[in-house]
Amino acid sequence: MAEQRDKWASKIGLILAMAGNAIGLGNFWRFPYQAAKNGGGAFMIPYFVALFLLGIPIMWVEWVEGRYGGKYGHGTLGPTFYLMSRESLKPRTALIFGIIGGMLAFSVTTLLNSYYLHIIGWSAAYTYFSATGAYFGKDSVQFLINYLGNTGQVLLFWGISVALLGVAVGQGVSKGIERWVKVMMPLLYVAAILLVIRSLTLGSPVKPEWSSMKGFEFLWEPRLSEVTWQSALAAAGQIFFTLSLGMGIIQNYASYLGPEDDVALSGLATVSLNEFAEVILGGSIAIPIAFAYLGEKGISAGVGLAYIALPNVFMNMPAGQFFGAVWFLLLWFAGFTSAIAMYNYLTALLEEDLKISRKTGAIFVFILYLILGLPVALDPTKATLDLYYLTELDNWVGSYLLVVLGLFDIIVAVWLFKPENFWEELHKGAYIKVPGWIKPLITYVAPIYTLILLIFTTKDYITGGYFKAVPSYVAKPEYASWVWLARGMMFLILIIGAIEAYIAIKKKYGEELEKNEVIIKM
Amino acid sequence: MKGSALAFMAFAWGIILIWMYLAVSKLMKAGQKA
Repeated sequence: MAEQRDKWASKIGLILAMAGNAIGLGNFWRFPYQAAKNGGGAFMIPYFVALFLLGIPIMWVEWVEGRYGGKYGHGTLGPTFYLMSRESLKPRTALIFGIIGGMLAFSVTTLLNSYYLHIIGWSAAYTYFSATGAYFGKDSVQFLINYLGNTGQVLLFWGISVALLGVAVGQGVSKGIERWVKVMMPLLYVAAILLVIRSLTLGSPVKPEWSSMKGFEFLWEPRLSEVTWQSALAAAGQIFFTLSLGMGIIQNYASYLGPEDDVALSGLATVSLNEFAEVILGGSIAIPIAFAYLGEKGISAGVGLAYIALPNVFMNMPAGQFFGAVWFLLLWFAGFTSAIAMYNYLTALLEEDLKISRKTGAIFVFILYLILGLPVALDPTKATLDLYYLTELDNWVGSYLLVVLGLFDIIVAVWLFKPENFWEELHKGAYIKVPGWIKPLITYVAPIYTLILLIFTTKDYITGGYFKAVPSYVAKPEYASWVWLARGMMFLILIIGAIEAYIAIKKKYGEELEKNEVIIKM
Repeated sequence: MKGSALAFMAFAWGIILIWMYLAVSKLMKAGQKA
């Protein structure tokens, strides 16, 4: 029998936690610069297509996986994938899928969060710098370089943020995470709405032809003829990132549901809350504000939109200190409520697989993130904002592996678990009936779409020189060792993740692996 | 703001807002009943 596990105390707590899990830096930071880079309105069309054909189906798949694993006492992907694969495969073959799932989810929650936590730390620092007006009247590029160069300060803001995460996770799911998100999520929405109101009332503060309305127009002009493969790929990638798909963390949260709790409507509600935060709120802040003060050139600032372009705006805006602080606090809240899910994944792994108490586990995870995040803080290429170590990790773990895991999600939970079983699981305790025509979308369209995305991303990575010993984006080969450090780290973590998943499955299902027959079944 | 942009934005915002309202309110009601 599965041991008694913590459970969500209330429906509202669960939905806010899931929304917090999905709503992250991707909504307010990554979405605007991806939209700006890929043609604004020309990005939004493939974005909505991917949301419908990929986002909603895979969100359902991950909720079903999570609740199914939770029924057996698992909040991690290794054992969950193993259990679902057993429906079609012999246990020893199902073990392979368990190892793949466990390995990928462990790598993402470990390495993605190792640099994501640093960006959360930057947001904490910039909240303080905005409130005190520290960067006002200064060159915002140089200010960021100076800040990143001050490792002590970087680690201080990182430490405050991650210690708070550790406290929340250490308190447990219902008494920790749920209580924290019940406070943070409403604050996140309030902060975002304040900024949207500011954005809508900016007018044309610099030039008559620059206004926030022009920013809205750029984002929403449906330029169908300008949709390219590139923008379609970027949109599909954004859907994975923004909904926190392919990470193992939606499954982890869903594992704390009861076996008869709804997943169909809950999954749909999670996506709707995320899209409200991304399309309506996220789309109405950075792009319109940057457009009003910096024109079209300003929104092409890419990754620097949040930490370079917008600080330039706040220093020229009435009540800029206040709105700057609100913007960075918003980023901090958004990052925090997503990072907490990755933190919890690893703590659950220690708790369930190695029987380490939650509080001790939360301390171990803190130390792990400190060690894995150190190269981000020490990378010398921060002096030119190249950040090779972070970039390499983001290219592979933060983008590529999400799609790989998303594909395995469907292979395991729909194909190997069998489509009829998946459909039955989706409707167990469901508050809605999902229309039958959605079934082929989940069974065939979503995996084909994901596979196409993976093939084209691979092709893009080859032509972009990401597979080279020294990737093409590395302009200073003398620092290529930081790229290799990132690659070494990925290799090491993938191996550890595979071994951990193998041990976790073997520990509980050793007998059936030995006999190669299913014994434990609920 | 061009009419086509405004129409696309209003359409997308409308769908998301209605979808969110229906999903969350139904979930809350069902949760209370349970």
